[in-house]
Amino acid sequence: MNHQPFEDWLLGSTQLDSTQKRELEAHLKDCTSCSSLAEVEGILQSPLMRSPQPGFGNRFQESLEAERRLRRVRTRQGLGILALSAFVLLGLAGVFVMTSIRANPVQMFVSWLTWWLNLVASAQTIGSVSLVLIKVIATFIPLPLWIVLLTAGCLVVLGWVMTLWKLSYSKYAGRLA
Amino acid sequence: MNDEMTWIDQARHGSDEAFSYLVEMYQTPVYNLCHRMLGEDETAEDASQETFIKAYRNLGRYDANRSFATWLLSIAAHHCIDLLRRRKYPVFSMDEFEGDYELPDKNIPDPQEEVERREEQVHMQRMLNSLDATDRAAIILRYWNDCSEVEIARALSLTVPAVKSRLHRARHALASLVEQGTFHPGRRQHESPAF
Repeated sequence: MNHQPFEDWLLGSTQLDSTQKRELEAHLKDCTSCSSLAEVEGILQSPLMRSPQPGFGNRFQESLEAERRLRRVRTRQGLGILALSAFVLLGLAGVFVMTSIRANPVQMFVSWLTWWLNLVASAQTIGSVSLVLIKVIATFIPLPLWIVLLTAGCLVVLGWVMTLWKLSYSKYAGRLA
Repeated sequence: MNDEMTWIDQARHGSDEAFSYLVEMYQTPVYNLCHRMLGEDETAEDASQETFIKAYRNLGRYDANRSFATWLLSIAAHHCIDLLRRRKYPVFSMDEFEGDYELPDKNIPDPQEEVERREEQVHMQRMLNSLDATDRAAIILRYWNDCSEVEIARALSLTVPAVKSRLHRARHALASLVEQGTFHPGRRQHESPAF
């Protein structure tokens, strides 16, 4: 059975003419599916609103105040943990440095210098290897493929930025703003 | 600038009093949405309070070119959907729900009809609970809050075709429950809102 025009008539807001009304009535007598739909639509068209218990506004103010207190406590706790962690780390670092300096200051200076030099040398090596690789690969890849790859790369970066933005933006409020 | 925008503006600048006007103005639609979504007084109250707190915290992100009511209902709907997904099973007390309705006003033209209408609503709530959380939110926004399909799409972060599809699916799901005899409110057969 074809329900489509009758479903549209049932769910649409347009007024039906007398012929359409007769057709719809006749269809509803034969079609349980459409008559059930009409029944549901009829109930949904006159819904009752539920109201909160009186004093909702006052209870909201209390909830807001409680939430503010909780935030203040959490902020204080967070800052306290941060300060304590920083203090402990600085203390440990201080103890380590003082111990090293007292034991052998020259050896400590040499090891720091070596570490920094190694870091700079590694960065230079990685840079040189990357340049060589790019030059070699560039000769194998045709221009259209480069364009496709760059576009795909841009899209990935855009997707990543959008994801970060969506995650950092308010979960609910941001969706409409 | 109308009253609502004035209150929003003042609330954005930290006025609790201005925000309390907005709470007074929208408490019923927000609570109704939460109640229809969750089916319980206590959780609906908590969800409504949480909605207003989230709105208060995010007021700076509200776009004044959009409807404040839709924005608020969006927060409520998403919050309820999250709660339902976390809950993962329906909780609904029929006795509690029936007891919550006010007795019909004896001055209204036909108290019997009013009683029947309320019974229909109780059954309707049971059927709403059988729907998927997002479909339920779409139906509530459409019929209880008179939201257009575009507004529902914005509120639920869906596309307009997706909203149409969800509304269509939800209406048919409800109709099939009626057809199976799960719901029998005593409405005259073949009575249609189109007439």
